[in-house]
Amino acid sequence: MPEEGQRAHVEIFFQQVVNGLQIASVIALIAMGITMIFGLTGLVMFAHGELLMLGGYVTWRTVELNVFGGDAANFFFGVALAVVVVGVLGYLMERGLFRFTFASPINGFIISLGLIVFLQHAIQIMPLPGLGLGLGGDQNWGATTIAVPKPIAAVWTVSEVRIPATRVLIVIATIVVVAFAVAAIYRTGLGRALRASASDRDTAGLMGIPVRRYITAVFVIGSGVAGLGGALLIGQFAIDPFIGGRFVIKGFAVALVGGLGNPVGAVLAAIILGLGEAMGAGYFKTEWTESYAFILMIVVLLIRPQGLLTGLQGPPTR
Amino acid sequence: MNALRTQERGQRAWEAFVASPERWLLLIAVPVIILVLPNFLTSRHLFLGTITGTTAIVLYGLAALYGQTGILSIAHGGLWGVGAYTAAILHAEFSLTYWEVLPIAAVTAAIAAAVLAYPALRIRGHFYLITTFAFAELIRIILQNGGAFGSGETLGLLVLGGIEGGFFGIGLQSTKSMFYVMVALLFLAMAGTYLISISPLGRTFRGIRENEDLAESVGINIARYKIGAFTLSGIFAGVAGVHYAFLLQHIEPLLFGAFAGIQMALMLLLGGALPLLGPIVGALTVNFIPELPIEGFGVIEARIIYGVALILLILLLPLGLVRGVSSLYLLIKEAALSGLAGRRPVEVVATPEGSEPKDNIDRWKGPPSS
Repeated sequence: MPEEGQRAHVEIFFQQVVNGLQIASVIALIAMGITMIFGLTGLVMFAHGELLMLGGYVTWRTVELNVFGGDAANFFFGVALAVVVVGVLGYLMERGLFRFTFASPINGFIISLGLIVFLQHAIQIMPLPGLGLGLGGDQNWGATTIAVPKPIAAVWTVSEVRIPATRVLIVIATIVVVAFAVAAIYRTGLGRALRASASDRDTAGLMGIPVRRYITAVFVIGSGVAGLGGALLIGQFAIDPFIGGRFVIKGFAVALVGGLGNPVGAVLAAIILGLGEAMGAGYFKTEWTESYAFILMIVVLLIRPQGLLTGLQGPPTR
Repeated sequence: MNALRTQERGQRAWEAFVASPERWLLLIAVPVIILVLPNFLTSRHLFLGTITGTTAIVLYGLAALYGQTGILSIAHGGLWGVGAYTAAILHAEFSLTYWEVLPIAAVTAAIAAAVLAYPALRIRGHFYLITTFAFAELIRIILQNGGAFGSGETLGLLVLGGIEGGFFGIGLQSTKSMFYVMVALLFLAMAGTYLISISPLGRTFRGIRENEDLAESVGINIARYKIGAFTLSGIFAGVAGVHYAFLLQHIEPLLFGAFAGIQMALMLLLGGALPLLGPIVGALTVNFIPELPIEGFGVIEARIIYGVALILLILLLPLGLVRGVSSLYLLIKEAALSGLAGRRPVEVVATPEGSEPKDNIDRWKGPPSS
């Protein structure tokens, strides 16, 4: 009997590792954009969670349209479309709104709050292409929870640990994106210029680095990655227009814990948080789960105010 | 540099407005409007107005903190929850009245604020802003999970339990009298913020805001003053929390999380932290924009318009509503006067374009001494 009890214990542990890695993936994807945008512009961009939400909606809409006739094909097309659409939106937001506030990021913070309210409600009445009759102006369809069929139905069972294939897919996609981004930032000339711009915008500009273009690029890529996060999220979970708030808070927590402006730190902190939350949900009281991110953040910042890894202090104050 | 100059002009415009004869219009009109207003409002709007004013009490504490020391906090959304829950529990358990609870809640919220100030000694700038976000949410989670209200337990970490404080107000039960009590408290809060800004204490706070290292090197005890500033603003939050609890008669943790704190930061930044009217104007704007009656628009459209309005306001008036509008007003007045005299308009104050320096660090000492 103790043998079996112990075995169940090990299985719960690995089950929670699987769940935790998947939570960590989505948090890491949203935190990448947050941390890079802050590092470059000092902007506290709270609307990033809404980009995640939009990514989920684009994917959902694409799957509903059923262009390819298969759940998997529809889903992957939806994911690609989500990245593109949300990336374009990031471009529009930077060019249309945030570039006016780079001298005072606190105003950009307010604009992002306005965007949250706008996007959360605009999505509810947005007439999206391909909607059937009467749906365009119908106010109620968007506020409800939406979900897509599992893109890959398979569930692997390794010694009683259930591993849904979709979760594996999410984790792998995240690893690929993160690896690509980190390689681009730390191993290429463009990445070096980006890091130079983040540590000192003015000097980088004097050295001939087109800092403004880098800012735009980081907005586009950061938004696209958040869109990817939302698209992958809806592969496994149902979402609603207000899902963004829950994730943006965690995104900021891990961005801060990892050192703002440091994507590697953000990913590291996301893994810690994801596993911590999953373990907490598995072993402790679930009602305290949402507090872990905040406790982790405060404890780490008290011990290491700059974050786990050295981040950037944002652009020089003046 | 350009940003600084714009900032300077924005504050000067406000000061010029305060020095102009029009201030008498404001000084007479505002109290009269406040006194007669409750008789003309619908009960819904009167209630909303009372909530707005109660929130503005917190905002004046926040304005003293942010405008003077340059530290912005979202945790105040949680701190007034500390005040509200103190009031709710003491009222239900020990049958304390509104006026007995008021000082106690002010003290508990101030103590909580002092505790939150400790991380501010190590964490600076936007990092701290995000940390206060975590504090606000932690307070909410503690309120949510921390013990069954009314079971005789303290606010400790207890088992699950709905924390719903249902209780009834003092003798002044009508919404109208809650409104007038709010107005009195609000005036006290405004006076407090103003006194802080003109006192030597305020000067020390601004020294820390402008250059923390320099302030420390001339012998200012940074830790003591930062914690002091937080504690002061915590008192405002505690008082507002009590009034809020008695006004709503039913409080729940969701009222007091990061969402409330963000709303407060939004109101403060929108109105402007430095002009004395900034916080109340910001609070009125944020609370009443969604109330604007627009034909054929439902709840969702109202929220969309609200979001767009926030974005437009801050893009068009980056210095905050009060300074932006007062400099626009002076500009128009100047143009009209010189138009009458047949002269070219003299540029006295610029339109509020450009933007504030990072962190809204303002070189001007605060509410003008008129």
